Amino acid sequence: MWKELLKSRSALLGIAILAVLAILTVYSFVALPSNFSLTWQNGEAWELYPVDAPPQWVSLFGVNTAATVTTNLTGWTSQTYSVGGSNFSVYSASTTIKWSSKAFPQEVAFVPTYSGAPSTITLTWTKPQGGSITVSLAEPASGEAYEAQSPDFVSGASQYILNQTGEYQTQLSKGQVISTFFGQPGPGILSSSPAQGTYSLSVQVLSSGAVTMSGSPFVIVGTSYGLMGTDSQGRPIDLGLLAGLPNALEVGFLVSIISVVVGIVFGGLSGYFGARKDSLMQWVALVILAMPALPFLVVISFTTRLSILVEVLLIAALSWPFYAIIARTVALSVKSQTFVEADKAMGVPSYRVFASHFMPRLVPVTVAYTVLGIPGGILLAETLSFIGVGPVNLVTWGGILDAAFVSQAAVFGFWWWVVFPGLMIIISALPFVMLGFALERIIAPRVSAK
Amino acid sequence: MMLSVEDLRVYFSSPRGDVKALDGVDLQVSEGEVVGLAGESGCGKSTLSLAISRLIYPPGRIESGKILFQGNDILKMGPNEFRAGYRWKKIAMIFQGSMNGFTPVFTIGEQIEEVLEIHQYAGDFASRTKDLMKMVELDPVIAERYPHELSGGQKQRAFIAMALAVDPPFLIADEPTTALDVVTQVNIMNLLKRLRKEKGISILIITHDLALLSEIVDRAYILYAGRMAELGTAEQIFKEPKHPYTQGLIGSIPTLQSTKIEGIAGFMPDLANLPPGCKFAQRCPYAMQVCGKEEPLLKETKEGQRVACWLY
Amino acid sequence: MGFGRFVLTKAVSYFLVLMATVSILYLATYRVIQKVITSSAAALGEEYKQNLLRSTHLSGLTPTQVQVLVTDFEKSYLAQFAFSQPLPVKFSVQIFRLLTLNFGQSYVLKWNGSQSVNVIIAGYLPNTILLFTTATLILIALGTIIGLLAARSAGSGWDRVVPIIAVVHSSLPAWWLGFLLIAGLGYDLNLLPTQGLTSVPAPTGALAYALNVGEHMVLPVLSILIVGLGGFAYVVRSLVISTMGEDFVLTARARGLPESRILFRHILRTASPAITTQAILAITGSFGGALVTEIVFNWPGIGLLTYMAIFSNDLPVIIGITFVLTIILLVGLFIGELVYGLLDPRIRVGNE
Ligand SMILES: Nc1ncnc2c1ncn2[C@@H]1O[C@H](COP(=O)(O)OP(=O)(O)OP(=O)(O)O)[C@@H](O)[C@H]1O
Ligand SMILES: [Mg+2]
Repeated sequence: MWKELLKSRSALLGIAILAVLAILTVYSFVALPSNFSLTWQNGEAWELYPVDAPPQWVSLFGVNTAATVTTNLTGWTSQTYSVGGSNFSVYSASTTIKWSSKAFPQEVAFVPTYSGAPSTITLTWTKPQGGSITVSLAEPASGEAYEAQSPDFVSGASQYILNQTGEYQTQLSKGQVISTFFGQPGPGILSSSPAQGTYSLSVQVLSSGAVTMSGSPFVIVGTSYGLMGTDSQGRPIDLGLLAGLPNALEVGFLVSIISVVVGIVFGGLSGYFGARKDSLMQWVALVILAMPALPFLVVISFTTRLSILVEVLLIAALSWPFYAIIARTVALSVKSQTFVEADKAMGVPSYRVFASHFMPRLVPVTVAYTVLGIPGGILLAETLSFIGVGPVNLVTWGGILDAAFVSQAAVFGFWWWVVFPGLMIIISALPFVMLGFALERIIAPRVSAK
Repeated sequence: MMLSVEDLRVYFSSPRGDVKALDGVDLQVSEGEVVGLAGESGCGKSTLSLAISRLIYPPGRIESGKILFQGNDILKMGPNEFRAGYRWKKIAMIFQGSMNGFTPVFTIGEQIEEVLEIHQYAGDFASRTKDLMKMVELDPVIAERYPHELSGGQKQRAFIAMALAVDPPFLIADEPTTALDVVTQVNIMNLLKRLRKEKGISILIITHDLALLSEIVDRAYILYAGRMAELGTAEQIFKEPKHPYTQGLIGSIPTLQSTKIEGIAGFMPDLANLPPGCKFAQRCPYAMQVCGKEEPLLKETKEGQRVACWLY
Repeated sequence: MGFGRFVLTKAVSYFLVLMATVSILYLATYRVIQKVITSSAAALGEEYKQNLLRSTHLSGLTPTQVQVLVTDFEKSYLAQFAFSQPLPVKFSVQIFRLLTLNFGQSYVLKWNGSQSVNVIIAGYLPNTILLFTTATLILIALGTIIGLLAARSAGSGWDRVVPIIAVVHSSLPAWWLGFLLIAGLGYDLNLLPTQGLTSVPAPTGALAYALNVGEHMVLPVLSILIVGLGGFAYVVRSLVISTMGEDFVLTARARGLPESRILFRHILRTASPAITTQAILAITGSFGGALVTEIVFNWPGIGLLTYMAIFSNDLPVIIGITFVLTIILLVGLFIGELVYGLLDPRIRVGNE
């Protein structure tokens, strides 16, 4: 069976995709903290991310976006001065930032990170054409994000505008501050387009005591982000998809294996027994088949707080009859074969008959349908999450799509928010479908062979 | 000449190589003649009958040869010409297992009338159907029934009725009586005899049942492993068979007198992997050295009788 | 005669299935149902109390008397559900109410001002039936034709299309496709309406109205179709191919019947009972997806109602939907079973 499988091109492709998914799953465990689902729900965690931002690579297709650039200030040097008997130190670091986009970013922010108690931190932002903006943060808090709208940034920007235009403006909007930082110097700075080139940023930390600076990020929150963009809260879609992968696979796997095993055993026995037991068992399967899965699961979600396991059990409880029908057909065809009757007539115990004639036919069917059933499990689980009845506190692709729906992403043209999670559902289903079909094709002739 | 098959080869491709189901077969049927075709299971009898109706489908193919029907090579015709002009109209066929030959979801009558319609029968369909049913000794109400409501023998007879629907000049009957009880078998054979007498139709009848065959045919062909072993008049074949295989076959006919039924030891060679020489050599009690090397050709031993055997 | 008996036995069997399914649903949702009953009793009691208080100047009731009346009222309401009766009585009374579609009042959702769950469901259901029946009929017709054509050319390029079709069928969520269609065809190209049943305001005049609804239906139907069509066609193809191998096809050819007639009359008719079974399975399978598709297109059907009920925690509505859908699904299966019987003479005419 395995040899034949490896000959099938679609099976090989399926295995390859499966390997990629497995690697991504491992990566998701390594890369994401275990409480990531809580972080995902926590809006503050995504403050320094652009909102509704398309993927960064759209700029390759001529879309005018600003990339999101995070520059960590490292390599701090220190110098100690002694003035009037008291010592103070100056720590400094600098960096350059290449800016090539024609769009303004959404936000700029500096997050000083240190231990100690610096009295001021001074940022000097030098434009490609020369001329600098100076921002002084008095008694900054470590880990706090100082954004364009913070008073220190606003006053630095006002100073610069005064230099350029001769006018003094105190009420600056976030957009105006950002224009000041990135615009073309000159009187028209507030209505100019971004100046491209290399900006430099130098940071000076003044302190009377000892300070240990750690990598303090300067974040230029662009209008595009990463591989797959962000949602309306700034959450990167790619991270969400990565976080949803293990859950999706887990649900798909468990649902499939439970419902297939239950279904095949039930259907196999039903076909094996035949006669009245068979009709009774058929009837039971029909009873389950008649339950409308979706509303049923919705009602249940109101009685019980769904965990992944409960969800899996519920879905499996509703889907096994499909496999029972298939297994019964197989069992009936095995049963009609003369050697089975011969064995029975010769008094071979029934468990032996079942084991020697029925199991060999049913086991491959089980394997094939388990593989084929996984996509269905994934799909139903994501659908449930989409309508908002999935397990709570989990990052799911359906949940991401639900958020997209609620925010009318399709209407506003936030296609990345819609396309990638859906593609992920398909991609995670793909290898199983391919493998399953290859398996089915190998198994089918054996099962139906007379 | 009604039908003349010349040097026909029909191969089935299989993973083991080509299965040579027919390998250079000749067969003639004259007007009004009843010809028998016999041979053990798997020797290619059904393949020959299907080839005459051009019903060989992949993995099978007609490798070479001619099938002349009333002088025209049917293998050279366009598919539509053959379908509309020959199938059922001129060449009707009773299949081995005709019981499954009816479409399960239409009544017998509907299917017979469909044939009448397709072949533009001039006349009233309903009364024709009734006549046909009577001809095969079935109650005409049976025409209103579905196939599953009929017994095997009834279906077989109904199928014969359908085969006769548009008065074909030539009828192939592939095991028309297998799986039927003896009384029905005799009835069907009598029916075929009557048809020949009343309508002068030519019949190619295929069966393992040589006893039955001996009563009805004018001439008989004995097929072995895709080749003709022997042919001759009924007298010649059944009274004085020449080929050791024919002799074996005749010997295996059970009679009340014989205390022991003789069979032919061994089995037919694999058609995908034929040995050189005479294909019967391994099983032949008279096998000589030449038999294993060279293949015997059909030789006339008597007026009308021809045998492919090194003994003659 | 044979068919009559078939219908009767099937009807009995399906009725028993209905009873069993409803019982299981009832047991699984027992806690929710009891909660709904008590909270409805409280809500209605409160409403009753307010009415009484408002009219005390007319009736001259004292607050204590009002309280007594309200308690009585609540008691009698609960008694309708055999709330404090022993379990078997309670079970049968409540099941009976559910089977007779007595679902009580919704918490918040309304239809034309009415809060009766029946009225609400009756208001939304026709739209679901309209959408789903249209999509299903198109799916069965197109799927059968494509499946037949694919079967006829089996072994050619079609065979390579099959796995792709299968992938689409088993891994593409219809509602997600709906999203894409909305973004692409609806907003970018502005070809078709993407939201709701009609334009707002709805056009007057029967024809204009019908056309408008039809236009609104295109995208939802399309997304159900794209997802379901391939899979169904694939199943039809396999069934037809396996029927093609049967003896009667060879004899039909020998009879000189034209190929198209054999395919469309003999093979299709013979395979149709099996195709019916598959269609029923496909329909039940795609029903859930179709419900969710309604949400995306804001189509005012049961799916959208479910979604709204989830958001507003409207339990009575959700319970009502679950039971109504169970009944509809079973009626659908039953009809399918009858169609199967009609198509297959072995059942229609009986075997005896
Ligand atoms: N579709 C097929 N594929 C491969 N081989 C085939 C096929 N049909 C027939 N054959 C082979 O061709 C040979 C002749 O078959 P055929 O059906 O003509 O035998 P037969 O003489 O009619 O036998 P029987 O008396 O059992 O009906 C057999 O050996 C069979 O294995
Ligand atoms: Mg045969």
